[in-house]
Amino acid sequence: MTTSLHPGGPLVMLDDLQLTLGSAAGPVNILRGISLEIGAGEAVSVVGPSGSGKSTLMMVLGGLERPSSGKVRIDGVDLGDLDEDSLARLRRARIGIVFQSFHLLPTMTALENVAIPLELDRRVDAFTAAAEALATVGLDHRRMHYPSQLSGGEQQRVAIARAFILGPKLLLADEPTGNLDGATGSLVIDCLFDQHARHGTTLVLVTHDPAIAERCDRQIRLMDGRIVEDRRMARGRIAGIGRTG
Amino acid sequence: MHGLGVFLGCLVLGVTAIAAIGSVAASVTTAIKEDARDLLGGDAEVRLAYRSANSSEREFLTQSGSLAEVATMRAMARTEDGTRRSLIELKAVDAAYPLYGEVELSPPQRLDTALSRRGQAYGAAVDPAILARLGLAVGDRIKIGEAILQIRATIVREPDAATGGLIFGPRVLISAEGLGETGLIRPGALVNHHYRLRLSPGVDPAAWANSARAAFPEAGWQIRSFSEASPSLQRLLDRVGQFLSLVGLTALLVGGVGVGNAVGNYIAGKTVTIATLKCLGASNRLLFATYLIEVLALAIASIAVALVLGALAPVVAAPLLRGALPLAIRFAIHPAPLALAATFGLLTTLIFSLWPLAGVGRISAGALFRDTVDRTGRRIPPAILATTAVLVAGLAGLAVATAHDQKVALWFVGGALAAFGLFRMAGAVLLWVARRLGRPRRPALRLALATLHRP
Ligand SMILES: Nc1ncnc2c1ncn2[C@@H]1O[C@H](COP(=O)(O)OP(=O)(O)O)[C@@H](O)[C@H]1O
Ligand SMILES: [Mg+2]
Repeated sequence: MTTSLHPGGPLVMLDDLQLTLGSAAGPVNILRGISLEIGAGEAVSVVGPSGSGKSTLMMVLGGLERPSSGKVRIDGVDLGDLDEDSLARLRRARIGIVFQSFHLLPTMTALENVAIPLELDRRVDAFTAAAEALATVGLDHRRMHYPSQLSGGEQQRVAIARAFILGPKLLLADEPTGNLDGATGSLVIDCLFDQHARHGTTLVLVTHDPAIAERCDRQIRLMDGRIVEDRRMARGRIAGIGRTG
Repeated sequence: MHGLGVFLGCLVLGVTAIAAIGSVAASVTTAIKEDARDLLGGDAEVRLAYRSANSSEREFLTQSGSLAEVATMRAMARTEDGTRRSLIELKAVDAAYPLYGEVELSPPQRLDTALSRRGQAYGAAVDPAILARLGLAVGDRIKIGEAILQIRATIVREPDAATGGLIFGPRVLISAEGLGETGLIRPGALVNHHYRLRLSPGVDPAAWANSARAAFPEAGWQIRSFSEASPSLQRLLDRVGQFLSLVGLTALLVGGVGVGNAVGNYIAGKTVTIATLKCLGASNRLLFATYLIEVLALAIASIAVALVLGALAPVVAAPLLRGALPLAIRFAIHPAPLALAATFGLLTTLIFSLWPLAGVGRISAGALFRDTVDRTGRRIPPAILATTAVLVAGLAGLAVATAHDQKVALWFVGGALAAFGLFRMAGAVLLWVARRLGRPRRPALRLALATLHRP
């Protein structure tokens, strides 16, 4: 369904990305020349102090913010060429997003939340597929619960099931455990890496937790809108933590 | 959905107003048409001012069908002793009157009996107001011209009361013979002679009227057929109807502002949901369509309720109008005014909600990453502006096209556009001033200003 235009090439390509936003105090340079390639299937952590531009980078990768200059290619598609509705279609088909604050729709059950991307994609088997996906994150018994009836960890696992439901090429997770305590957080991270492995999805994960960053193949450090460090992790996949499948 | 309660209220109110006014006006028009023969007193009427028909005219009339003669004039009625007097509208009728409808009297009796000669005096049936004015009762006698007449009854219903043009005094009904007794019929007397006809079967009243005009081009007679009976009442109805329709349309437009605000608030309340759906791959187009369908479904439900209320309005209005109109209003559903009201309602809904609905495109989804939701300063898409302009033109055109007096309707449309323009300008000036003022130190004032100028 989502065949890459450049098989074997990098899934994400950023070329001298700049983002300047106007504010009351004048223009602010939030991203200042970011160039980066991420291969298909890679798990990359993004670390850096608060305000360094991590979330902004995620927004650009998700086609939710247009850079002031520079190029963004996802799966061979130049996002600069797309209008907003095409960007939405690209997100639906190829990009999954997990937020720090879950962002489940409060008026829908867990099952309905997971089914949203399928319904947007006009799948007839939306609810069957959504139920199966809920089972893979261990929430089969919570299908009919509303977000307010779920714990934070459970809500985030529903959000993960939702983000992976259409088998995206790229998964963006912005501090997915930021609102969770340690034990619940590691359960959620296990869940995330499990899904990453199942779907072979490229993972870009913003985190403050060195232990979580350790589980990725690669770590990028942002500072003041610039990449100040980009390194392969020694243990990464070898440790195999979180690989259950 | 409860945020849209205001929406429902505004729409139901405005559409009900228009549907109700249209339905009542249609009911009265129907009643006028149905009662037209009664109102006119015949299939056709020939009126001669200040002279009666000559023999050849009379022959033409009698050959056309059955004829009833009525003479009307203004006169003075006095008590027998002459101490009290009252201006009256005197109406003398022959035995054939009325050709259509019934004259109802109190106490109940036949009209010809009531007006006939008994002893010395012919009878009269009078408007109850005369009894009060002259201090008399049924059975007493009055003097009109040289004749003494006995009041036999008061008039409860006179089927052709509305046709005589303006009526300045209370009615007194007498017989043609009674009129002769008064001695008021002299050359030059201001008497109107009405010749009412029940046309032979199969004769079209309008065609007959034309043939009568052609046969006596010099007669100076005014001919009306029942299809055009009571033009003054219809004219009055058209004017009042138009005025009330414009009032209804104003209510709907004011309601439209409420509709727009309600939709805007509803969308604002859904910001996080909309942003989330965008992140999941919902296009602006899909979100716009989704909320438009929701708004339209609500609008259609509101309009349906309003149409039922409006259609029932004649039932409520009939007893109120019974005293004011010489007509009986029968209940019927009038589809034309209801369809018009529904169209006005739908157009107004779209005109006022497309703009706020386009706000879904301004919600910037990426802000979810920072747990805020911003709005981009993006302009309203040109397609929305163009559609709204077309709908406004459609609404204005419909209002003018369906108006009785199109000049008045044009002024109304111009006035409404000017009013909305002024409101927008005043709003813009207020925002500009608020921005210039900056941030005052008093917290209440600061908050008030901050809520005023949002992006
Ligand atoms: N709408 C905005 N206008 C101007 N500056 C902004 C806006 N949103 C965020 N910023 C600034 O951009 C910088 C990067 O923010 P963000 O990407 O959220 O950082 P991080 O996720 O790394 O904490 C911060 O300094 C923040 O203050
Ligand atoms: Mg952040």
